[in-house]
Amino acid sequence: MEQKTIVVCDLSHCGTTMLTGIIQILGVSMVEDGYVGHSREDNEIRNAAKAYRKKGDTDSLKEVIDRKNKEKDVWGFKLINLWATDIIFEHLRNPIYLLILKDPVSVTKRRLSRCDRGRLSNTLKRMIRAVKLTPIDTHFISYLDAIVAPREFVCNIAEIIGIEPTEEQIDRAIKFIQPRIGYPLVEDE
Amino acid sequence: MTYTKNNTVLIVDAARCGTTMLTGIIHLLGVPMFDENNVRRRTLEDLIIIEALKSEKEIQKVIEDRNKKYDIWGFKYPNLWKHPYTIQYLRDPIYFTIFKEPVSISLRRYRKCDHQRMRQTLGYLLRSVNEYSSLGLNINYLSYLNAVTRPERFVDEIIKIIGISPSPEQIETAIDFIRPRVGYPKQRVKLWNKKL
Repeated sequence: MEQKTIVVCDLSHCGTTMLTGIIQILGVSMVEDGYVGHSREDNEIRNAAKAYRKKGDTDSLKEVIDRKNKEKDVWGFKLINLWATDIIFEHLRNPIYLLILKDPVSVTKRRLSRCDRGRLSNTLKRMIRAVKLTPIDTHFISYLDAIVAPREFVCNIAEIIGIEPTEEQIDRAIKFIQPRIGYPLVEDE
Repeated sequence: MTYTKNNTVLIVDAARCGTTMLTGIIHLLGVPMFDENNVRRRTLEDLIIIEALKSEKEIQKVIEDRNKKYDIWGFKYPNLWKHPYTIQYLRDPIYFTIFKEPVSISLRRYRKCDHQRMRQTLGYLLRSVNEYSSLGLNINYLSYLNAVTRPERFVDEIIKIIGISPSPEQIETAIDFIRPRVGYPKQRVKLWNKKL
């Protein structure tokens, strides 16, 4: 299989956890083994990125990425503050960047409890900044598509990543997209 | 349906964000949002209003006529900020804006969603918010995603904001109207053709 790294670009409250979970179910390792948590952020990558941002430690991040590259042909991660960890881009092997976007009113309500003009404007500025910072070949993913047409959404993600999941994996990924009261607490199984 | 006051309901702001769906819902809830004999069926825009907006005198007359005819009524016009003189003639206006996620908007506006189009789309949304900001309007922002994921709650939210009491049948019809799918808005046009 072609070697590559899947990067879920972080834009909080836009469905990054759902997207990361789906990719994991489709067979791409997105978090370290034994991970337990809700955000689906890889602890090793996160800690190494934090060490870079706070102390300028470049070795830890390179070491984690090199090790993961050796262990797996295709793997990936979601990282908060990806943009502040610019050095990461140098070490990634054939990266595929994904940025999922949700409607700005919904994001504003989740981030800031309510949506008025100022808050909405703030959310849109954050989105614009995130898009500006993404690499030019980033794939933009619609959260709405996941809700409206989950099968097409899952198959589209698999196609972008270039993997061929089993029917069972696709079904599990579809099941994983379960918005409900209390959303966005998507649950696995 | 009972009304607590006299209002005008306006759907303004960004095009391609679900304004047609919202207009349809409010109309089905019993608030006339267009003249049924003069409506652009694909977008549910009132053709009389669109024509009248070209001149201040005309729009004043149309608004006054409708105010006499209905306690509560409304219309959709995403680019209302281009005709700010209209606002002074509106009776206790209630403003709505609905937003969809930017990937869908980009695909509808440009038929593709690459880096450049995404930036343009988000810039367009921000500009829309800012244009109305300069008019100082108190806008109720709605989420298209909420309409899709929780249609009952979405319709209920609209009812509460406007302050109307539609019948259970009207509420049910309005909820049924929220049907995002491939082919949108063709399906919606089909529905309206049946109804009108």
